[in-house]
Amino acid sequence: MAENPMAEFAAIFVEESGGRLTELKGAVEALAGNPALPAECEKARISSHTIRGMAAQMGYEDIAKVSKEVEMLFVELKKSGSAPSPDMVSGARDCAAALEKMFSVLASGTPPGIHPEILASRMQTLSAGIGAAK
Amino acid sequence: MFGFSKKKPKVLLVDDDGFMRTVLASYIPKDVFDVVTAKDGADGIAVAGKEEPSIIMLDANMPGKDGWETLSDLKADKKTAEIPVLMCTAVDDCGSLDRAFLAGAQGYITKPVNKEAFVKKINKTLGLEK
Repeated sequence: MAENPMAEFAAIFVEESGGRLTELKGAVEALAGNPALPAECEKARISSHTIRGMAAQMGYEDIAKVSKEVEMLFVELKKSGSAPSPDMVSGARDCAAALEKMFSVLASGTPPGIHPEILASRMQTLSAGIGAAK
Repeated sequence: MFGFSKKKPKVLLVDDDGFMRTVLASYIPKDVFDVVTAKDGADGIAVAGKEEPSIIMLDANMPGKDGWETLSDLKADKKTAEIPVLMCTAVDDCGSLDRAFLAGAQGYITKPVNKEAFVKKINKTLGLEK
């Protein structure tokens, strides 16, 4: 372990989270083409869960907040056994794009134009809609 | 040297996330414990059988064989059934805590993981600390 473990963890975070974000984006794009793909929903759930866990461990609260709501959307979809609506895919896609921007400027905080609260709230509304429709 | 070397307790960390494996491994004092890791549930079962760890930290949410299935398999195998398992779950996933105990886990830790609490939990579970 390096003298400054946090610096080492941050480097590993960038490497690992980049791979997970690629998985998330790939799953969301696949769902945009065909929402009835449970395996892609599961990929999106697992990758967003992992990003959330890593970000929370590092104290990157905005990344954790956005990725958590993406995860929760896919948790609710899994519970209900339903496919994501176009709005849900669009929301997940916007979150993935925002996460990518946030990853690119980790050291300097959340970039201008990214509003984690609004993204999280939008995903919460979409998730709540799944429960209400049951 | 003719001194007796006392065998250190061995901690097995099972997590699909390489970042979390690295972080958790760094938290464990190496002068007290040996650490081995596994990258998923199936790997965890194989490493547990081979390395015979003193304790297993098992991530609940993994692709493929998840933590619950892995725990069930570990408890069903005579060779690994008695190894204490601590489940690692998200802090706001309350339902999974009950599930952990029902499935035979000795305890749990929540993510994000606090270093001091993590080491204390391992020590306590192994009877190294009151």
